[in-house]
Amino acid sequence: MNNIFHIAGWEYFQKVKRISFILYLLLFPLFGFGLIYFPQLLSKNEVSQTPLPVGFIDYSGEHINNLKHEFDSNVDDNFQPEFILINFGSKNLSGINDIVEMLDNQDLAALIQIFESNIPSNNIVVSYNSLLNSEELIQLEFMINKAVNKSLLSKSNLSDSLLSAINPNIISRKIKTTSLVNNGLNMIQFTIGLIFVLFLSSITIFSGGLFIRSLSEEKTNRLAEILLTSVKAGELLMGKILGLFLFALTQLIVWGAIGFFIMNEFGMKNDFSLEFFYQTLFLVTGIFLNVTIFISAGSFVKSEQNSQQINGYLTILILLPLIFIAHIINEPGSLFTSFLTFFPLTSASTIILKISSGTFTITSVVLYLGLQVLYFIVTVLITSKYFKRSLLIN
Amino acid sequence: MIKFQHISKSFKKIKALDDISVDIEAGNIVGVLGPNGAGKTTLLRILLKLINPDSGEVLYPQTLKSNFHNNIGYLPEEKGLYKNSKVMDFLKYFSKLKGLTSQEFYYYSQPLIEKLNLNRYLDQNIGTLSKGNQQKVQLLSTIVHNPMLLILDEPFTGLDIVNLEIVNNIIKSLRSPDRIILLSTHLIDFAEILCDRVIFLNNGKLIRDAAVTELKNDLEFYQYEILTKDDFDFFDVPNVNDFIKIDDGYKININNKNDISGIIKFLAETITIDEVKKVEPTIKDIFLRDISNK
Repeated sequence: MNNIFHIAGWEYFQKVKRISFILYLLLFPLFGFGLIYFPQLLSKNEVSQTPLPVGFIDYSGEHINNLKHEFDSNVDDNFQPEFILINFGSKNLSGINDIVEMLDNQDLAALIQIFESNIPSNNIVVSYNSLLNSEELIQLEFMINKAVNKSLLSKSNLSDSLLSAINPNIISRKIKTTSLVNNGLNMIQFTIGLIFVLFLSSITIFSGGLFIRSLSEEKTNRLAEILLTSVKAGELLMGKILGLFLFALTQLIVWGAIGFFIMNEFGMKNDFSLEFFYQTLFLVTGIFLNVTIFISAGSFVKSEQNSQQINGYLTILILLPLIFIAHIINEPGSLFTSFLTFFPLTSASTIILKISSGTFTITSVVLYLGLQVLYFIVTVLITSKYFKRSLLIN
Repeated sequence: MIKFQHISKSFKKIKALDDISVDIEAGNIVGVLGPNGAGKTTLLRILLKLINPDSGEVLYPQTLKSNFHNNIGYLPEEKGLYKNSKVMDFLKYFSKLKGLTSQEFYYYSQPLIEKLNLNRYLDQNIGTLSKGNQQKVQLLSTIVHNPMLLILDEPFTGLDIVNLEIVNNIIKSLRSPDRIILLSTHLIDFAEILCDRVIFLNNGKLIRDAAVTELKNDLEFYQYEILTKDDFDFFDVPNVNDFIKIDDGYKININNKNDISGIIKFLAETITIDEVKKVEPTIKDIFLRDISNK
């Protein structure tokens, strides 16, 4: 057992110290962040030329004036308003379905509904579509909060001088938001799923590729022989799997930390739902399974050229869920999506995307998790049977 | 004692080892000699349990069997080294795999590091060292845990004359009553100096297994040097088994020492002979003769 940890430690520290790894570790999140943030910046510039229409239904009838004031005050550098408030009235409103349809058809970017309630935290709902980016959503929430605070303060018996001294920004309530992007697909959930699949693919491809090359080197310079005369083949295999898993996990932890830092710095929402938890779970199990498959494949590599070929094939398979992302999201029950779900190298990524599309149950999560464990056990059993022999092929 | 009992091994249609039976006693350095493709590596791999024989078995002493991985040291012909790691890290890693604690590692490695003059390279990357120093690092990692079974495949590769002597002395110092050392080398002169016993393999067959001293006492041929400046074809000379050209003449092998006078008479009619010397055959001569005969 000790030997497994010695091997894992060696594999981990030998690879984590590489300059190429450190550069990759730091540059990849910048690239990823740019990939996501750049389109938002572009869309922001486009939007700034045309004010976004935002519908408003005030069932309480108390907030229209303050909200209108906030919308009028919110102008860009050219004194153009960022949003246009369309008031659909207040009590006894009919035709709500027509308004929701306007939102679906993107005639509106968002719809604010304020219901009658004694608890202000529970009575505001903002529904929005893809015309609104996350930064604009945050701006909208800020304006709603400020307007509602002003209304509540004006209802109090405070003197005018005291009222003017109170900053209405200081009270911030949680506003329920509902994304209607892609016919009900939660945009944030989708983005998280996409980022997770990107993480899983790139971590596997980078780490797996590195290990396949090092295994090929160990075979050609007879290090594999020395290792096999020092430890049992099973210990060597498990040590390598553990080392590679820790190596991959390091990338995940560093990128996760950078991600949270960016989210906080840019004021992005970070509500962690049950979906997020499941996606994280499959991200970790996916990494574990994929690295095991890479080591298994790597043990059969005969030369440097051969290692590049095998790495290429595995990379194509790993990227399949990203290539067919639209199909997986739109048709989670199709035969092809099912194939990707049950194919070991693509299963974790496909499951993560299926969770993003909202098509999952607790039972299916447990089933998929069991599947990941089963694949891991089968891969280890098959590999351990041939590992020693394949390492000696030379 | 390790016993090879009727070991045979084939790879596809090629017979790598053919019914090899040999006993190897502790306390000896045994040379495993043979031309390329003779089956040396296959024999060593079977001994190391890296591959299984098709038939036959290897019997190990109980002490070795009980903790096999920690009791063997294997130096392969190619450099089994991590080129990007530091010398000290590499040595520590393999000592850990061989079951040494950090204290034991420092205790056993320090004298060897000094003997091999590796002190100043400990913090360097292995890839930056010369071939000779890499070989010394490899040797150190093979012997640091005092293995009971030591297998050295071409231990002198890449060494200059000074380091050849250092490694030679270290191997000699490793001889101990409870240790089995197998040495495979193409430097047969070194095998002659170091080995107590030699095993000759050719085409997967064991063609000779004898103590070095017995080998010379039990010669089946005699060797002479005929010193001459003339060129001559010895194929036509009666009773000469084989011959090789040397710097100042020819070296011939004959079966019967009484034949030499007749051979000299025959040669004297054709060429000018400067001198005739009886020489002691080396292991190399015996080896070459065995190979050509079989």
